[in-house]
Amino acid sequence: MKQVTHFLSSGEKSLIRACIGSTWISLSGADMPDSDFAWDEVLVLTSSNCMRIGVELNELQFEGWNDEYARLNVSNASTECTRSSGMKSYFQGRHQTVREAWIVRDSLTARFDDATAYMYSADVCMAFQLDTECIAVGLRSHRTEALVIARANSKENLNLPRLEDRWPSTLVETYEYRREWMQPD
Amino acid sequence: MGGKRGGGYVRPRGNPEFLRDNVNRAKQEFTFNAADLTFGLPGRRGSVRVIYAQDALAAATRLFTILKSNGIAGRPTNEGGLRVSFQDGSHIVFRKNSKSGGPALTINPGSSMNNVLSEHKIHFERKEAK
Repeated sequence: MKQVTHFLSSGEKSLIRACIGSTWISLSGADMPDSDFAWDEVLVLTSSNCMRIGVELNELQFEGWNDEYARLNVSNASTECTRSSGMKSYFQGRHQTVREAWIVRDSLTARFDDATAYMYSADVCMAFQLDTECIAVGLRSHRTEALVIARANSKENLNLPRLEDRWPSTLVETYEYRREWMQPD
Repeated sequence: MGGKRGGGYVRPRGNPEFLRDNVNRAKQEFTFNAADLTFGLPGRRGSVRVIYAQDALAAATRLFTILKSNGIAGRPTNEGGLRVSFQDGSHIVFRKNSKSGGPALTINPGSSMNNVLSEHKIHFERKEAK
């Protein structure tokens, strides 16, 4: 059975952890037509760091053919980046303290004729609980470089897209899709 | 009496209702499977669909042109892929030369496209002349 993972590295998780306890400032993107959608990357600026959350397409072959799969990545960015020309910034949550952070991990198990064919697990989203609101940035799809930005008062009320539509089950092919929330430890 | 006509609601660019209209227009030119809400025919690769045409690139360009109408154009990808989005998160990506070969269109419907369109990727392949 093939097992493929697209997990954030320990270095990427430590950047997310570093936000906890800091003050939220803004969320920015260079190609952000709306406050809840961005192409390629967004910048999360807090009092402790400026973090780039990006998405790139990786070519993999675990379904029996080559295809592209969106992968989240996190890196340090310069604060100056948020002031580049064309950058749109959104200040919802400004001055609030980041109380908690989570990573959302989705796992797919493919069964063909009742035998497990492959498993695919990926970190698809990260969420930040501020004093009065929760802000999440995650994949909009497993196929594209689109990011969704969701906001709610708590993580339970976030309206995150379900991403399993890429794998519709049939009579002989069954796909189980599971989502879990994890601390960035 | 003179005066301006209309004054009604004007849909802003990126309104998902435009995509709904675009899908209906595209259905008149391209095969649409009402059972799974996808364009094209089932291919050899899971949920990937295929549209066969004598000029695969022209067909891909045509479908993208219809579907992107009144959407919000994003910056092209590094490989020159064209992207358009709508306000409900629906988005479409068109690559003239996908990594898996030939033109490809990726369609991701947003929250208001339930029962209208499914997420799918379409490859355009040359139909051999008989």
